[in-house]
Amino acid sequence: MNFEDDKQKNKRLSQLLSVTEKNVAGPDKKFLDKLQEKSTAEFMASCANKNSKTTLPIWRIIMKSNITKFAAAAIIIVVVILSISLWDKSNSTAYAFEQTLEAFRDVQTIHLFGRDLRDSNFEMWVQLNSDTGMPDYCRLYTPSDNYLAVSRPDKSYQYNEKTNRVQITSGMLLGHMEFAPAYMFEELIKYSKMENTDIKVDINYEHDPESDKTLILAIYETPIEKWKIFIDPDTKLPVRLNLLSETHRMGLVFKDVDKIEYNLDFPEGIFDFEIPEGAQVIEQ
Amino acid sequence: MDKNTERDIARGLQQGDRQAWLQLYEAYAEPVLRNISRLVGGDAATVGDIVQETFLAAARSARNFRPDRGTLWVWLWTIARRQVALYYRKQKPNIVLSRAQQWWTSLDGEKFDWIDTKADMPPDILESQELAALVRCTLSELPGDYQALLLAKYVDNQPAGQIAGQMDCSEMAVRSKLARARKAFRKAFEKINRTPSGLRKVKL
Repeated sequence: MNFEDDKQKNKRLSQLLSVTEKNVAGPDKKFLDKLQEKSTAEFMASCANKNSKTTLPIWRIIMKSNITKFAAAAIIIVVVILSISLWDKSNSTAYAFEQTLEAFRDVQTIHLFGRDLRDSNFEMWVQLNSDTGMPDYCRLYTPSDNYLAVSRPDKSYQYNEKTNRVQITSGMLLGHMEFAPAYMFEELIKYSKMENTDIKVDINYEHDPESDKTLILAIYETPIEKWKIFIDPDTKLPVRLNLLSETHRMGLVFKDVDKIEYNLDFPEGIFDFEIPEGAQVIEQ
Repeated sequence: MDKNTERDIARGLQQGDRQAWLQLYEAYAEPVLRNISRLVGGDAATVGDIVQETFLAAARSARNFRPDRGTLWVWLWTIARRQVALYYRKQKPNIVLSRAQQWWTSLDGEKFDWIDTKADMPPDILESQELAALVRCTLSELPGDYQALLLAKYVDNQPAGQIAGQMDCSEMAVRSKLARARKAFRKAFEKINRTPSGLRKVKL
């Protein structure tokens, strides 16, 4: 195509791109005014002192769209119930799930070890986008499957060491590579505010001999899966997860996550991928 | 937005100044909403959700805005672009796109000649919802700065000088980037119409 900058060609491109104006309504002033109020409050809340005991406001203007449907993809889920205060048995310190959401705001990287549904060990590295909390970069390695996946915003790679085959995809990989606990955390806050949901949560405590801490334990159940989530009482971040049952296999990968580390300095080039010599390359 | 206002707002955001946020919102809420509508279509609830997610995400990170990384508009549109990409990722499968691709395939005529400007695109094609879906999906695949450039130049008909001010670069740089954006658009459009819609699932 020859879109050189001359009048006729610009006119045609303008025609083509102008189709995006089709069926687009003008701005809704009422909506914009309401959003101005909410976003300003969010801005002021985010600027407030972190040590403040003010509850973090999580507001949403309820819209009619389906965009906030709970995803069935394999993403580690942190249970959130607002306004529940829990007392740690050892030192009577109050805990609320808002603290976990707040703690995730400072998370830039996540490193985890676990097993998938076939009991294969995996190791995963995730770098989160500081604006959205969604993963920008992700690396997943499953040694028993000889499988390596590197998900990047521009291009993603899936490599099988045994067959020396690389599959290249434009953009990020979907599914379990979209590991964004803060994002799912916010979605669950929304669900927890809705009535007549099928989501159940039980909270308890369990002593962890390895860390010698009493961890906060949440058992979280939906119609399609049931999880145990262990939360560190000091950092307020999840440190271990176990899938107890699931009925919807599509895209679900994680079964046990034994160790989660936050904000480590990753090695240089951890999200780069060099095509091995002689590899068969398939571009999608 | 002139440089002084931009600088004042940036400083205000870093200092947690409410007025700075209000100024940012007033300047960019409508342009963000307009561009998001162009990328995802006319469903008001969907557009509203994405606009809302954009501004709430921006509000949470506004204190960390760094002027050396780009203008306020570029920063804000990067966040919006991310939310649009998330929206498209959730459309699994993307039925609207799939139908549009089938429609495109069924068209008679030298379709890519229309894009290559060798022939006029028939009016009924230009008016079709399917073409709008294909163009929107194509745009959503592009980097945020290309999206913003193409929409500013070819839909808002902004002159290069005005675009340069928004992006804090020279007119020459804008023209050069526009050329790359056009090329990227064409490549993405061809790819959209050759591949099955939307699905890039990872399987273990």
